[in-house]
Amino acid sequence: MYYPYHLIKELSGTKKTKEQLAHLLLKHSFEVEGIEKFPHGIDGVIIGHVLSVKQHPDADKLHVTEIEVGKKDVRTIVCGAPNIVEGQKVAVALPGTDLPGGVHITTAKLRGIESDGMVCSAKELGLGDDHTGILVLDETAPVGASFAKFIGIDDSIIEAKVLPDRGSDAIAYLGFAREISALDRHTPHLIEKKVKPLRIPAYNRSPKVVIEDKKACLRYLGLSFTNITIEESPLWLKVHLILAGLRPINNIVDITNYLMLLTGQPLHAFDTDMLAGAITVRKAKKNEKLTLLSGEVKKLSLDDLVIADTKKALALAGVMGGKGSGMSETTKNIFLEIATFDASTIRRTKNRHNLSTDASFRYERGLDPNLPPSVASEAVKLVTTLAHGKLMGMRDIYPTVMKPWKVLLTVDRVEKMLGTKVPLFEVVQYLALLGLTVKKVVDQKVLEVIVPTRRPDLRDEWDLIEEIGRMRGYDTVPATPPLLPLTPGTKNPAKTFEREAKSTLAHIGFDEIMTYSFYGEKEAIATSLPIDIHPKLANPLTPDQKLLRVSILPLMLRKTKENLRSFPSFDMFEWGSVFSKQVKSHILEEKKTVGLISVMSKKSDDGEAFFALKGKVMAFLGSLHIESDQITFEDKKSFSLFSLGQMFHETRSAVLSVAGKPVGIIGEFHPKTLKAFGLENRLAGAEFFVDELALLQKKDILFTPIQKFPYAVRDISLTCPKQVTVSALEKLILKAGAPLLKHIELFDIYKQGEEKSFAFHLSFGAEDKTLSSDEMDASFDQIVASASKQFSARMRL
Amino acid sequence: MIQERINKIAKEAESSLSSVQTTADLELWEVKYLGRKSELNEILKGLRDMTPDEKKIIGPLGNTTKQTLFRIFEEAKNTLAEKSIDWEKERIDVTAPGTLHTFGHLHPITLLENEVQDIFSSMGFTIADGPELETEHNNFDALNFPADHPARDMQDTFWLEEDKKSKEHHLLRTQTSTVQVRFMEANKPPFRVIVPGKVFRNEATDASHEFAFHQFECLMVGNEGEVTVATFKYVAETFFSQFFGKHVDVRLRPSFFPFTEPSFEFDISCIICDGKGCSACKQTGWLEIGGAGMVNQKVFEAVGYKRGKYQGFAWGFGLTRLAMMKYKIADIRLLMSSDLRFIRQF
Repeated sequence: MYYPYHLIKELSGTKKTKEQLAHLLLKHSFEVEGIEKFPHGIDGVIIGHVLSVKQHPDADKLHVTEIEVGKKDVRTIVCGAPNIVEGQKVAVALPGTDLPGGVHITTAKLRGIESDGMVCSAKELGLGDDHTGILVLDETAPVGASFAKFIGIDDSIIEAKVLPDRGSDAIAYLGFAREISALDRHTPHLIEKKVKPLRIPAYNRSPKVVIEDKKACLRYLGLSFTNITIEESPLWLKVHLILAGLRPINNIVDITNYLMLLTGQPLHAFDTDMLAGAITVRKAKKNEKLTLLSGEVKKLSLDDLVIADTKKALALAGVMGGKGSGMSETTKNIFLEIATFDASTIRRTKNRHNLSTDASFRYERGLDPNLPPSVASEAVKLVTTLAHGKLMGMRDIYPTVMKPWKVLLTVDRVEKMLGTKVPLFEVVQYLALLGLTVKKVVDQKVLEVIVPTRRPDLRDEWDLIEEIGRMRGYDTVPATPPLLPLTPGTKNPAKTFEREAKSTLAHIGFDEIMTYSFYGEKEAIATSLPIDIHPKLANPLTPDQKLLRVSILPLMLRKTKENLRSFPSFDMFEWGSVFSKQVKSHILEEKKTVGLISVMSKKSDDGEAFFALKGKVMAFLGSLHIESDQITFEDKKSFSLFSLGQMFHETRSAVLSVAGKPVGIIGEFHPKTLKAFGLENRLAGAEFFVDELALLQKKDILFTPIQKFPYAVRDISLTCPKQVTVSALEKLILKAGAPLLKHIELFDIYKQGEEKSFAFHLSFGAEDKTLSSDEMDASFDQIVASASKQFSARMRL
Repeated sequence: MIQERINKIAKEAESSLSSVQTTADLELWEVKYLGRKSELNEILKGLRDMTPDEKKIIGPLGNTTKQTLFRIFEEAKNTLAEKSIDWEKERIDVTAPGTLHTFGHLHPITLLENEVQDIFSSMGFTIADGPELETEHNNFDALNFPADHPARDMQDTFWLEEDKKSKEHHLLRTQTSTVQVRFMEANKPPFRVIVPGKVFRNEATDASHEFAFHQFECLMVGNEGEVTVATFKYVAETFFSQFFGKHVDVRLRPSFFPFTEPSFEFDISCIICDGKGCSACKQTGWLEIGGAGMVNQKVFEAVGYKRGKYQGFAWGFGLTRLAMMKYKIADIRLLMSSDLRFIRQF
């Protein structure tokens, strides 16, 4: 929010400089985000006194004037304005001045006479639309003084972050000033003006008001005026609006805006002659439509609150007026609304129709229903003096009067919460400064505090403790170690696993990256992930970030492409959440996965990329003591429902499964995936569900005695049909060689036509003796026989 | 005397070894003094014919001498072997690079998260975790953000498209405070817990704004009066002093969060100028770090605690921001860039 320093200073009575105020507010109330000089752009304009006006000898419409702009400084200025007369005080732009419209003033000859400056109109000064003549100032204006200073536009704007809890009071200039006054340790009555009750004519000629929805409209006060004159506002009023960044329109609109800035209370003026019968505050009817001031036609919801006459809805309550019922240039009689609406109702309407206005901004923060009378009193004063209107009547419907409420504060709690002692008299003083009344003190222990209705944020004693804490200043609270039992934190196995796993991956050579959690349809299609299993964002920043990732790999592939510009080969991983939506039940799910991508510098003609990554994955699993013997590498075709599979190569990928359940996938990518990301066949990727992996981690590591008797190693070379896989053959050999065969290791494999040859080192041994060669031979023969029977394998010699 | 003979052999052997220059000579020396038929060996062979008194003296002396001769023989052998090496031929360029062995690099956010976890763990805090995809209830309602309240505008939210049937609205969490609700629903005070995690804000990115970033939530709750504003100041000061390796002051300023009452913004004394004022702290001497406050009793009530029974603080701060401060990263977008030229610097 923006607050003009001079007005705030005047309202609060503070003597502090703006920098001192900023410091004070920061410490006790609001964050001050900046103090900027208001950019009015009329620094070179000074006040001049018109000494003489003569007709220009060569131009009918021009005058040659002598204007005093300082002591013994009289300038000759040529002026075309019809309203310039001797004796006036005017605003003069001297040569060298840049005016807001971009006009640069120089000494120039006008029809032969040199003009040493320019007398300005309101429009030229950026103070209105009037260009028919020059702006004439009050006769008390001091000659030679800065015009900007004189009219009060030479001000600084304090930008303070007023958070939603203080939206109902401190957004208003008066509320902000009241806060400053409290910080200045001034009791509130110094700035509160007594409101004189309005004198309403006995005939009270005002349209009647009916509140139909008393929940949504807490109070409706309406003022009727006749015979108003719509014209430009006086300079002082315009300046207030300009400082607030609002454009002056006409006296009535400007008055409503000014009172809103000052008090926080929005006002709306209806043209009384456009109203048919009584004013009704009601919810919109089915299919009801309203044309707004902006010209936009809105179809209303049954939950929207409207101001209506007997015929139709006139305005969207608390948000925006309607076309037709509002003011126009010819308006003579007005009905001024000063109402209090329910905050949530207004907020819903604002959000529903996407209409954020100054009024809705204030209403949705919750306004004090006891505020309207004082605003009405000011409004009457301004409308009667500035628009010459006559007050004809008033309606004030206030179904349930809101009264100040009582909060009991247990004094003990202040110290218990803040951790430092605050003397009772201080507690009472802070509350009083904020305009709260301490009604009773029970046994020095409990305070009965009365909260004024303008502070709806103060509802319980903790709210009061915050007020006491901040008024005192949190710098008075010393940092104090707690007196608590010394207890260790409990371990979180998932986080411990994450940390171990990440550092293991880094040791193996993977760099950790972090990507966004969403992508677009393009990435989903590129990785053959069905669109309908993706949870979708209702309000993505851009359409290509609409889908929540079901896999961590699509964006990793994109990052692979980007990193290939700088590096020919690399390994990287990402650890993060993936999401999914069940197509039928729409149940949403979130899982943690780790994605790996490994890029080689050469092409993977024989699956080198796959094996390079597989080796790293096995090292990773082994280092974490994950029971990899429970994991099997299976054909992805057996897991047709596993959606991650489709982005992988048909015959160079495998699903990792535990007891038939997929825990991850590894493989080279499908050529169409690679193509979609502009990549070549020299990379492989993997993605694992980490919670499933963590379950396989060995809980306790138990020592197995070291083999006492040495193993005897023999090699075997078997030629089999090419369909036979390493894992099938290994399984068979281990089974056939048991119990003496302890360990096997594949050391060579090669294809030969329709056959494959495998060469293994076989290690035989026993716990209690060195094996004889006969025992070994028997076991070896068993292996050969078994392999030959099962896989038609033959020994290669 | 046998003793004298042994000493003489030793002396003779030592002096003759000093003149040995070649491997052949050394072999001859070995045969002569250590061989099976050497004089010393002959003497030792005769031990069994000696009287017990002689044995007592000659035995140890003979053996020690044999060991000494063996030792000097080994030394001479090594010296000769060394002399025969052509060192120049062996020479390598030690300034050439070593065999390539690469390690990966953890993301700076991970490094920082680990560091932060370690400090809090040492103070007895437990690490908790929670989902990024949350319900409106956990992200807003239970944290005392009333429905239709402008407080919800303080955090621009990514909402999920909902199925018409679904009763619950889902969103990407805007704050790790959601885990407060989950943790408190499952645990009773006293506890100390920290929650690191990724959060989302629906706002356009620039050098200092990112729609996905990492946060840290810290929650400490005890009985009323046990965990106070003063405790919070202490924990925050201790944490930051440990983290930055020097004393850091904490400053609290009034603020508003629906889930805390009182609420604070908290600043730390500038770690670059120690509070004197510099460009990093815009001459204020303070760096804005995050929000905090005493858990609102309404939040306690929402998770089923009795109003007024417990008291504690909650604070959140950006790990992303901390990383930017620590590593002097000027553009926040680098953190989510996945650019290995960036990652490999950590």
